[in-house]
Amino acid sequence: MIHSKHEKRLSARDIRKTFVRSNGWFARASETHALKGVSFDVEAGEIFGIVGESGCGKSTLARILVGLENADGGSLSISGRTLFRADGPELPPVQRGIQMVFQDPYASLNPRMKVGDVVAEGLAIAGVPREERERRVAETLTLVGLSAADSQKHAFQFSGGQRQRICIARALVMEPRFLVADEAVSALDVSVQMQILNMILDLRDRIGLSIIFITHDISVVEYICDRVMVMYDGRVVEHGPAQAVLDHPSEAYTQKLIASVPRLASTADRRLSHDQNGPRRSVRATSLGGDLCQSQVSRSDGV
Amino acid sequence: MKLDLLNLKFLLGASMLSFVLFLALFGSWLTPFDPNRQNLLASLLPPLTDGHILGTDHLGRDILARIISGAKVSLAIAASVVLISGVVGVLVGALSGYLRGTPDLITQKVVESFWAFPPILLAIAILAFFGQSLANVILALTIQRWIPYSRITRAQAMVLRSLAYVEASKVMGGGLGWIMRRHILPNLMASAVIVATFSMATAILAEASLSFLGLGVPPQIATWGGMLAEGRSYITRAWWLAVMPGLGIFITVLALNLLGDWLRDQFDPKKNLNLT
Repeated sequence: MIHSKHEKRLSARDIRKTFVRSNGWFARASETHALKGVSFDVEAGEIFGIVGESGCGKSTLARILVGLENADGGSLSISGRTLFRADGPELPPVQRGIQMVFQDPYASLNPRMKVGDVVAEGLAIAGVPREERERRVAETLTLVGLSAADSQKHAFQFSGGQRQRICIARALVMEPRFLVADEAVSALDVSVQMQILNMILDLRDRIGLSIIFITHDISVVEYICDRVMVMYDGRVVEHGPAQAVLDHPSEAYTQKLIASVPRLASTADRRLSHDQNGPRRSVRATSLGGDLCQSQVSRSDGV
Repeated sequence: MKLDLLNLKFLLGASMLSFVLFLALFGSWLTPFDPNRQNLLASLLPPLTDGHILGTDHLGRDILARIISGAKVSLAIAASVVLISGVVGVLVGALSGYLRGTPDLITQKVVESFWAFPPILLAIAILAFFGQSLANVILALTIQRWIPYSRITRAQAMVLRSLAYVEASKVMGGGLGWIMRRHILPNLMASAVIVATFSMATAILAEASLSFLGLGVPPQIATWGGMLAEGRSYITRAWWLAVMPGLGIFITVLALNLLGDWLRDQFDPKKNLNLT
């Protein structure tokens, strides 16, 4: 919202990653080429989908973006600032301005810590004083639809959807420019998925966050992504505006991927939703889980 | 987590252990006798004669007084051994499991080479080489005892390192020290405490074995193992010389094993299904 179009753009160029596994002293080591040169751009305030079957390299890409894994080649920069280059040093994860939300909301939260400490962890590492930490934690918890009082509770007192909200709050409190969500809703119930997806859309509108949304679920892509990139076997198969790619897939693999999704909504429904954001959401809801789900959305967004 | 305090194992173990601890700490006020005072005229007195509740040994020393002073030595040695080996073992295990790669490879080779020696042999070798002293007994017992801690904690750290909350911490800038303190070490405490309880029992036995072999602390200090060794030659004439310190070892080790068993039950995920 505040950012001009080219102010904050994440550019990935020709990212490569090979995993080498040793098979003991006498056998040859086996190599897995997880990423074979992946390039893409993410614009400010955009929700960028990365879709593909498991093993296509999308999670490896996510881990490289946030710095949990080192790429073997290629480069990554945000608005001209280099995060890594093949021949240069890597920027440590926290300085990248990219935060991550993980798939499993149960393994994502240390069961020994209170929610307030979980959300404040990044600030505590950075040495932010206690009063400011508490203030920002309270703000962020409200932003994701929880209450400031929740910071005194433990993670096990929350449901899966609420836990994912805590994880998102933990990422947002770091004020990232980009948020990587790796299968962030695939462990949740369909109705809860909707609530989290709506919250992500809302966050994008309110704080202008750019989101890289990694999923294997075409209907999720359809629902929230502005642009999408389809990956297969470590390569980009196709990319473009989400609607164009999903409605008129040009590559055979994308066509197969879309055809494999079971659907309740008819093609006519999807065509209807082509033009604008408004009707698009409610119609998309049908492909996520039918009418039940739609009523859930219109009722409330709170968990 | 709720601890089941009305458990028979806990009640027996805790009461036996507190009895031993009480004797070790305050026992010297309960008996008028000096543990090292010899009185050849009163040697080999059976229990309950002339005020010697547990009798006297071949030099006329009061056995109860010696057991009490031996308890202090045994428990102090065992506690220091458990503490030192626990800290070393947990740190080594946590770091090697979390870091993997070369540090892990090196520590695993070290662990394997230490583990290749029969424990008592290694302890004997160390004491024979460095000489008998309290510090050397502790060293000899510690040298292998950190290994069980490091094995268990390494396995757990390997699981923890790939958990999403540890990775999230890395993305937020958490360094090695932070992640160790915040996420790894607190999660290893439960198993470390269980290992410690059992390890305390075996440390007491090992110290007694070394003293029995005459390789423990210097002979002028009364220890349970040393008393057992001295009593061995009189076992047919005066059974109490060997049986009394043996009972001391037995009660302490049994109490610790019961407590360790109980603790393990308490931390068993199958028992406490609401672990999180």
